[in-house]
Amino acid sequence: MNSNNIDKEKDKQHVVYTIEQCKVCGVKNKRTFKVGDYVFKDGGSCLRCSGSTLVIMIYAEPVNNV
Amino acid sequence: MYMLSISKSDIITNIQMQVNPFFPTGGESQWWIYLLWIIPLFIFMLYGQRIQMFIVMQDVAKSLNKLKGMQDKSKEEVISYIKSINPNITNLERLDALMEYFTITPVNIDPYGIVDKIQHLIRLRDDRIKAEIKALAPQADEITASRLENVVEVATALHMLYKLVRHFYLMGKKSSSMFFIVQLQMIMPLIMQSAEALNKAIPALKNGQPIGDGIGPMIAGRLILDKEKILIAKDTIMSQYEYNNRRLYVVKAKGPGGTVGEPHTALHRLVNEMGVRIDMVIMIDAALKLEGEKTGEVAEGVGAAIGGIGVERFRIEEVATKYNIPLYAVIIKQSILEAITTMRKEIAEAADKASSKVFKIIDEYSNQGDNILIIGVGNTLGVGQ
Repeated sequence: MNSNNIDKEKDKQHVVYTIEQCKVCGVKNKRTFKVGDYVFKDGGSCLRCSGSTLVIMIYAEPVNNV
Repeated sequence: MYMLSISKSDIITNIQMQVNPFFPTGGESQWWIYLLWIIPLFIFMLYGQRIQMFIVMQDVAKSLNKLKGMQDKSKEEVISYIKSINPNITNLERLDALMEYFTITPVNIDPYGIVDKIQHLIRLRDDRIKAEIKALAPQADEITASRLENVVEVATALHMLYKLVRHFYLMGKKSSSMFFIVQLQMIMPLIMQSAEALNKAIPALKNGQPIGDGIGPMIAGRLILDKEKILIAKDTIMSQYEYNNRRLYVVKAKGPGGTVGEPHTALHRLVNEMGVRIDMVIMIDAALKLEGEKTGEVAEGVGAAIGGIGVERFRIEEVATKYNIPLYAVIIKQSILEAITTMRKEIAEAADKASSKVFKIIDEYSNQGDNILIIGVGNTLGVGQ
């Protein structure tokens, strides 16, 4: 068994996204992660109704899925 | 129509003519041909194992070099992170000492009371490391310090992994023991997989991004959003509310710093000090998937879903057994790499399914008026509440 035959997963590049959801209208906004973001942090204002948003998810997606 | 008229004997003759020099049919003039076969045969008989060992050693040495590269890179990352927090730092000897810090596990000839001893040593070690981190970066706030602690832990783990592999490699080289080195080669893919995972964890830890292991605290955090929270144990928060005529107690590590909290202490306090009669415990945790299983798959079962050295699981099982509390577990499957690197989309999206499972367990297996404890287990880095 060759020790270099490790999961090909390691070679995939990922982009990290922050998902914000408006507390008023429920619209979700997906943007690139910024240092300082964390899940359940109050986000910016909603793009549709200008209500306050909440970060509901932060996740990584492979680049080829973008 | 033109027809090929080659007979079977023609083909055999043709082949014989081509390979004839290597398969002499007789004659003293071709004795050297025999030598051409016999010499390599003897070489392989006498030195076959050495040749094989050389090949194996080369393979292990290649992985060892890769491991060294990862170890050096992780240390550089730690230094750059410390300097970004504390630009005035010049003496990094404290970091070197921290990376060599060890814990001697208690003697287990007589295992009675060993869990208390391990817990005592773990708490001591944690406090000591926190103090060292504070000394390295006094300006760091609580969250940054916990991130730095996580990064140092990863760099230390890589350092230890490199030292262990190097030890066995050199031992094999010194003793020229084929079996020694072949055993190392056989486990190298697993070691390299763990090292790769640790190496990839550093950016996520430095940036404060939630990791796959944080799915438990993320689900628990969602349940207690906008609810009043109390600090129930070290780095551990709890909130309670009514649900379908039942009282839910939700516990998770205090985020968004990189900590796992002490859920076992929370259960102990709740039952023994606060006198709450707990009728059911549901633990939500990330679990390692088997090869072939899908990332983000959700499964339910019974037992204490919590990793670590075993102290937490022992304490929870102890209380559950003493008071006959049913222990249910909901797990979200992922690989070791996914557990310690930035949370994957499939894992984050499994939160809804896992929450539904939790409430299904509550609705089906509990009665009205019951007190139910839900514990979100895992590292809460990048996950608030």
